[in-house]
Amino acid sequence: MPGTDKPDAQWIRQALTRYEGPLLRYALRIVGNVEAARDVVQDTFVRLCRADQATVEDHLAQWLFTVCRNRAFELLRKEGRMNPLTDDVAVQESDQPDALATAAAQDDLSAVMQVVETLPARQQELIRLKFQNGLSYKEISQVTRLTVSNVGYLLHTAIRSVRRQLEAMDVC
Amino acid sequence: MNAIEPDDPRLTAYTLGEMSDDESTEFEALIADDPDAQAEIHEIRNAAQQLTREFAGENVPQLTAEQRMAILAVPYRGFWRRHRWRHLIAASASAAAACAAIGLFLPALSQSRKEARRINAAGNMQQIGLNLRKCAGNTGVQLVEPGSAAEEFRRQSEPWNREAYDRIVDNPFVSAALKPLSTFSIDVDTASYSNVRRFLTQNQRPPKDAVRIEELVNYFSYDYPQPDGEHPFSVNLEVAGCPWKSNHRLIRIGLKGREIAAEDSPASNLVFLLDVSGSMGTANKLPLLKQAMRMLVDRLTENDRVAIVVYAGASGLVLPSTGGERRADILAALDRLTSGGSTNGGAGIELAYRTATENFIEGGVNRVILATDGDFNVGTTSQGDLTRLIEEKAKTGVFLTVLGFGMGNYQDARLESLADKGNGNYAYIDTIREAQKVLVDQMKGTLITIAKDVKIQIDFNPAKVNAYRLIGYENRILAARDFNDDTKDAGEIGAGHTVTAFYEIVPAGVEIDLPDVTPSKYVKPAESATGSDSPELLTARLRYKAPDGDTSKLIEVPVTDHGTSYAGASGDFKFGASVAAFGMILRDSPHKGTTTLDAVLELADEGKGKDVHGYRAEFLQLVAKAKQVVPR
Repeated sequence: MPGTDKPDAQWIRQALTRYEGPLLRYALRIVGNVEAARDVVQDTFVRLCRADQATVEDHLAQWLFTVCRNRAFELLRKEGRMNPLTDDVAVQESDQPDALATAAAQDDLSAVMQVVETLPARQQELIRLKFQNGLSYKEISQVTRLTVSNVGYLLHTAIRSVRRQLEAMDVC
Repeated sequence: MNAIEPDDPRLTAYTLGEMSDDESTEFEALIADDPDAQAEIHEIRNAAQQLTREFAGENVPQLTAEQRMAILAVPYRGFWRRHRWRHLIAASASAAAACAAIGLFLPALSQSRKEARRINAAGNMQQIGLNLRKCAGNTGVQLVEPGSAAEEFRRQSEPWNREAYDRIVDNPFVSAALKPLSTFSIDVDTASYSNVRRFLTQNQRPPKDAVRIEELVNYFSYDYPQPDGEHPFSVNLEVAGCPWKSNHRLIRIGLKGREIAAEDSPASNLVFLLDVSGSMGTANKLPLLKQAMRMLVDRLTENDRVAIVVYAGASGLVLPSTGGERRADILAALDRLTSGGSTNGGAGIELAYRTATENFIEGGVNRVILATDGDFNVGTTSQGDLTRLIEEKAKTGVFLTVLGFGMGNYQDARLESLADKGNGNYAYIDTIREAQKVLVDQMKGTLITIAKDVKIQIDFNPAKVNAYRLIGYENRILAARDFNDDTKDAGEIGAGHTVTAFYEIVPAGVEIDLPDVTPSKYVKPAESATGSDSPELLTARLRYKAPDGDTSKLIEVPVTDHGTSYAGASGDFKFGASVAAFGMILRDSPHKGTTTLDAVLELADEGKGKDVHGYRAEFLQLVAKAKQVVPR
């Protein structure tokens, strides 16, 4: 019947509205350039269109981040750029103009960012999933295939090093 | 004594709420006597908040419009099962079939090469076409169904660039006997006029839905008298012949807000919220905005305060609230602005309202002025969240002005709705002249609200009126019951502002085809439905609230038609009617009758009057321009 598909169309659109930006930011940190990140995210949503709404709906964020992550690492593997499972993956800068440089009042904020950049890639990833995307330990564990306690340990460690480095900077 | 070592991950899990209730209770008992652990938790919480804030402000990249469209064009599984047999074109089909899919998808593409070429300048038609073809190949199947996500997306994103307009359907004629009450909210926005002007000066016909007739009419101020009584605005009604339909009548309702002399101007607390994202970099956006703001800053006094918040990938306070006398500091902060990064409007709006609230001036003008091309990135803030945020903030007594800039990804509908929700007004700035009008010549009207939630209800006398039609205001229509409902939000009127609305009337005794309604079998039409023997044509009722008030006041003005011909109408009436007719032609309204652009020119010229600022002369030029662009 025409029109019965409406909720579905709506659902896809809402998912796109809600997660387009977050997924792109996430993918960008893995693949390192906007074009590739866009391809990964487009592919993720195309897969969402083909997925069964009923089974995905209650854990949409986790589903999207998992698929997005897998697609991103798949792309890297294909291009032979790196082994995704090591922790010393070099995280490349966004090729977009740095917005921080545009706002004069951003100096102290960017310090935090600088510190985050020094963390091992895996910790950066977890920190982003947690504080940028609000995923729970459990969801992060599903997305990254780490155990929940490992997620907890890595996040705790990451926050400690951020704090320590910021304190050290304050002393200077 | 210290049971918890600082490297215990439970500290973080506890702080972030990642423990079950039982675990939390147990952990709380453990740290109850452990000040070190408590201090540690405090530090972790601070760091977590800092990280959240920091990450929220990070660049939000976007998919391209073509990619979004391609996603929404993919059939989804549930849909696929139900519609297996319909409109399917296999990927292995010939190129011709792929083209047919694209044709279906964007019907107008094949309709008119000329149209396509024109659109190509603004959006990027060919690019979309290519991507769709690619998408047809990638996904295996191209399926387009009216009502599908893709179809809806197409409809919403016409004309194929990222400018977005809400659909407008012209108000129809309504029988006065069946529905004697017509209710709407005033609208002082003017954005549509400057946007239409932008299209026409680029030799493009504006999209129908970009033409909001009430905003065209209200772009101009009219010479209505100052209010002299208790009310903050005067109400002026005029009835005369309808220039485009000789046996119809035209009614003009004109409001004029009280002027406020410079020395009586309340102190103002302005927070500029400026979009400095990459898309604002072109000459007609940020540089124009900076120029406009310099003009405004020149008008400020030591009673005024200005703050500047910018948002792009990150948002930040570039200029804390600063007294108007420190002009150099303000201008220096302006000069430092450059564009770059993508947009996250949500965080910026939060910060701007917070700054406005912290510097709130009791009895003064407290206003956030949002300047953007409206291309809010959807990353962390959905449209709904943003609207709710603005609605919430409007209750704090801080008003909102939205200034739209630029073209190409200009989100008209979104900006208008933000301004509405935020007790605000909305203008589109395309030239420095327009900036001068909004921020200097009419600064007080823009900034000082003298009445809010202004609603108009016209009570037509069916003995005199067969049918009526409100011209424009399509998205401002209220239900009759909303008129007396003080919880229903409506438009604001600023100091010295004029607001104008027209009704076209089919007088009693003049025939008009209205949609036929079968009368009820059970209810006989009440006697009163045929009208009273009052000589009055109608009664205009207005409700408004003081800017800080919660209860509305009522004004009632009865009107009698003395049969004035259109030739005998006032100049302002003629000019306003000509602008309305112009809008009807641009919208290709079903009610435009025999109007032509030549007739508009003639009418506007007759009503031009003194035209101190030259806006009306410019209108005449614009109509002349439209004659080259709009096919007869």
